[in-house]
Amino acid sequence: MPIEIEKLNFIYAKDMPFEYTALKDIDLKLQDNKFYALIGKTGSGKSTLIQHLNALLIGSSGKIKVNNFEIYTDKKNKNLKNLRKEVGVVFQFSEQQLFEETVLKDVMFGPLNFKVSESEAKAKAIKYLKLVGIDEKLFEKSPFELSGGQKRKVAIAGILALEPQILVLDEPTAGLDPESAKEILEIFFSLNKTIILVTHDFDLVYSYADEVIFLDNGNLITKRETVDFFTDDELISKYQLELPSLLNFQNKLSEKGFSFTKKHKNLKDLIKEVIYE
Amino acid sequence: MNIIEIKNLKFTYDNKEVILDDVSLEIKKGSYTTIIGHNGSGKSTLARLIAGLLDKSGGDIWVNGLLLKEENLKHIRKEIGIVFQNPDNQFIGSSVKDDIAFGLENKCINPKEMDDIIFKYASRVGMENFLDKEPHLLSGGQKQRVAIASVLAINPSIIIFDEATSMLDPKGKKEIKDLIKNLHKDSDKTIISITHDIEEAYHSDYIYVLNKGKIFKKGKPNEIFNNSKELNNIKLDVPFNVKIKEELEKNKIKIESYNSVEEIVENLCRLKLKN
Ligand SMILES: Nc1ncnc2c1ncn2[C@@H]1O[C@H](COP(=O)(O)OP(=O)(O)OP(=O)(O)O)[C@@H](O)[C@H]1O
Ligand SMILES: Nc1ncnc2c1ncn2[C@@H]1O[C@H](COP(=O)(O)OP(=O)(O)OP(=O)(O)O)[C@@H](O)[C@H]1O
Ligand SMILES: [Mg+2]
Ligand SMILES: [Mg+2]
Repeated sequence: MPIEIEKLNFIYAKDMPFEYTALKDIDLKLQDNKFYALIGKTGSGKSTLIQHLNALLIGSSGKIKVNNFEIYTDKKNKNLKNLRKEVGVVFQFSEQQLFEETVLKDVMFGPLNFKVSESEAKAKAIKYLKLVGIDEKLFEKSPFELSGGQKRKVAIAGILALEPQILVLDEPTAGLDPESAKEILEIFFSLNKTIILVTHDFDLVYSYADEVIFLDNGNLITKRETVDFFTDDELISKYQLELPSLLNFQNKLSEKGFSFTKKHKNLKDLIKEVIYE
Repeated sequence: MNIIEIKNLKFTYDNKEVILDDVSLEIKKGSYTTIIGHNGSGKSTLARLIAGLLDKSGGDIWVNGLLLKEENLKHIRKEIGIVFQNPDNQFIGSSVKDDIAFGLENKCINPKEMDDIIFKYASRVGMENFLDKEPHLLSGGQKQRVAIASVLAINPSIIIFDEATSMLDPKGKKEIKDLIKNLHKDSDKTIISITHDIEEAYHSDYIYVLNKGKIFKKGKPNEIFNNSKELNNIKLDVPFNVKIKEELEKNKIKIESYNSVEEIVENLCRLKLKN
């Protein structure tokens, strides 16, 4: 049950002095259980786009289908609650949305809202808090008394606890320490669900994403397989994109006459081929 | 000269859990110091203590030779600017312009000059076309840029950046990091950057590593990043060039210098020619 977006336009502050078209004629089809990275520079429209996937923003025109839900841009939408159970969104600066009295209650809120029993909600909250690396000591603390990274992890646990089919994550690892960032990515990866990850960390994109969706100034420039994307020299230089560290290293070696059988996805294999070629 | 000196600093929020435990550090005037450490290790707490926004539970802090205490607070706060971890907590103005202007207002600047200063700092972070926009309606990266401009405009001699560039795109991050670097080179400002960006730490003058509220290690980047196992154990990592060096060593290959990826590639070329 894929995601289909057709000719989606979105305008902020329509008919007001600050009117701004943030998305222009976006056409996008996403398959089930794939890992997508959504990239593009500051202000390109990434956060705007993902908020359409659970109908938090409704397009000015166009069509969106998510699983069996159709989100209309021209009439009232019903059943949004069910849609929001299937599409879990972790917002950028999600740490700001914590509001309950305790960490545990905050994570339980989502499941309870979807009519899960108290005890089951609690079990889920505990399970996902532990999974993201929140120590039990913090469960009864107020979310406002956590560090920035701890808050972020709690916000992520809150969405995981809904067990949605589609997970949309807006900069989930910004502000996490390197080990936690890796652990969190591994969690998403191992869920085998449809993942849409908004990130500026191209090293993460290179190691985890099946495909890259690239936005620029509200336009969808391309969507394609990750290695394909980063090896399109023309595109990379046109948009002045940085390369993932590993690919950059491999390219520099190639320029100096080292030859490779393929683009490597981890350093260990790359070094093996350099040494034993 | 040390512009900041901290001796045996202790801190607790609730009189139960010790958050900072016997932290001592020195920061040289005009230096670019980074503080790294796992989530919850106490970095932001330390920043708030230095800026006089929290009361210590023990120990002493000196800023520019002045002991941090009630009487000196007003003076010390003038010297220190802090860009908070979450830009939304920092915005005061209802437009980008007002927000940058806010810090300037108690500095007796004539209104004509004011507009020039606002424009100057907004352009430095590439936000000159957003002056009338409401800060809360900006994208994540745009918010971080404005938060930085608002603190730069006040022109404090010490600036603390708490994860201030975590949401910027790679090119934007580079530009802002260069801006910060130049600032510290050209005007002798002292920069303290709290960051999870290992590459940024690698290019700073001096690093303090915090672990569970204690100073775990301190030193120059090459002294800090010489052992990935040790850092991995406390949830941190080493820069990419050090990872390559260690991977080569696992395969019994030693190269002389590994300060950058380019240098490593050169070294590998020479080895290849020899064989
Ligand atoms: N609520 C809003 N009202 C008006 N304009 C907005 C609003 N939210 C975002 N914008 C504008 O729309 C554009 C796209 O913003 P968006 O948040 O989608 O960018 P982004 O790609 O997520 O950027 P970043 O990487 O910085 O988070 C930006 O120019 C931004 O200023
Ligand atoms: N207001 C508060 N009340 C009680 N405890 C707090 C408060 N703020 C932070 N803490 C606790 O103090 C410890 C240090 O928090 P701090 O915010 O300084 O960490 P940090 O190193 O900045 O982490 P991060 O990288 O996640 O931002 C954490 O364990 C946190 O839970
Ligand atoms: Mg965004
Ligand atoms: Mg912090």
